[in-house]
Amino acid sequence: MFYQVKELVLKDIRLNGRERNALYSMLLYVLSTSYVAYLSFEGVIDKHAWVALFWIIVLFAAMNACLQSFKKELNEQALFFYTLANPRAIILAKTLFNSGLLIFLTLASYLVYSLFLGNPITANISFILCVILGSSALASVLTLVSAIASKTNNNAGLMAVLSMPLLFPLLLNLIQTSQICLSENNLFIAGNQLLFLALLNIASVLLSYLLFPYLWRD
Amino acid sequence: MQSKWWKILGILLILYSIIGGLLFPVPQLNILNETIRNLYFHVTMWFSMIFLMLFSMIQSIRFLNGFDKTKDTKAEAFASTGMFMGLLGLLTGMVWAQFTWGTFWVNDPKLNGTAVTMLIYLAYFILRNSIENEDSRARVSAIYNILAFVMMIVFIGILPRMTDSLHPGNGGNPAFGNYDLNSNMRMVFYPAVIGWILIGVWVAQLRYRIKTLEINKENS
Repeated sequence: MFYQVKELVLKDIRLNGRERNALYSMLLYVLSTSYVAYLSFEGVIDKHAWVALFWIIVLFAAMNACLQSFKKELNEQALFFYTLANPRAIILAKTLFNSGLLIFLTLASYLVYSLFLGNPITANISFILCVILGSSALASVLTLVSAIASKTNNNAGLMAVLSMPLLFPLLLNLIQTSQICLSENNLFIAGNQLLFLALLNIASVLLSYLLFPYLWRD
Repeated sequence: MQSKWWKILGILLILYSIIGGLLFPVPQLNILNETIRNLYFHVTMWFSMIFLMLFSMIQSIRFLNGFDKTKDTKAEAFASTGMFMGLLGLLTGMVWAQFTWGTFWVNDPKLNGTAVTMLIYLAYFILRNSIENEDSRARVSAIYNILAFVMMIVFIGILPRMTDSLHPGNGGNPAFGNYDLNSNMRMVFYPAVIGWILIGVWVAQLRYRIKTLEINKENS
């Protein structure tokens, strides 16, 4: 099982390395939205608006990134390939890969975004922790939802409809945590919120671990 | 579930809660005044919604254990009835908010939570309609239903407790449970909760039977 997970993650990384345009398009998305934000706010932005806009950009980048996760797995050849692997290993590997991808993307957008719009965050360690936990929670929910959406005809449209309400508490919590990080410079200022994020992570991974085999068996 | 006694019990309990809720003495509180009687109708809707959604999720889990299609129909019937109860809860809450907080809608974590709960279950129904194949529709929607219920509990159970809310019991507001909900009110409130849950189950049962008849008609 762990061997399978490792191999599947490595496979995804290799595939992504071979077709780099997907990654580049996501980075370009982050860059262009940050620049649009910079132009529309003319460089002067309220602290709270900074936080809200940052997480909205991250949310849409994440949805774009995870939308395609099960696209390749739907043709017959890949289906045969996956009869060799345990469905639980598949979902764990996908979640791990997407988490890594999203953590990278979110950190990159944090960099680009603060380049254009300044960086009002004072509690840096808490914020980085919040970014890491938040993007992996985003990834684990979105991976399962994209698996669900891949079973329907209208993939892209349904993905937004299904995932947006599910991600709402997460987004609310992320914005709240970041706003706490604005005010004070204390290492574990947002302990409760970070704990909630970690629990949400565990809960969504557990749910996908339990439910995905039923989705896979077609 | 074929017997009649629980349906009669449900009707009696709701009749009792309407009469008792409008006539029994209630504590006189600032701002709330007589609108506190809405507690018997507004909060009970949420209780019955959560229970109906719970039953819906249980049916979905039972569906995944053995792929019996009737379980999926039951899950849908429970979910749509719970959705209706939630809508009623939202409407009664909006009227109550107008008379106590001054507007129909405020930016309150509980209200946001319920609004998004509605959106989640609407998405559930859209998901059901967008899959043609009956087998995969039942399976995919059962999975989404379980996910939706867990997320709903996070919304209206955990998240509002972490932030300030205008609702009683959160962020320094006095809770009904502490001292406002006195024994007089409890005597109406709990029977009303049980009554609405029973009625909700009854409505869901009727919906399930209608749906089954429709399916049988299509297949014959």
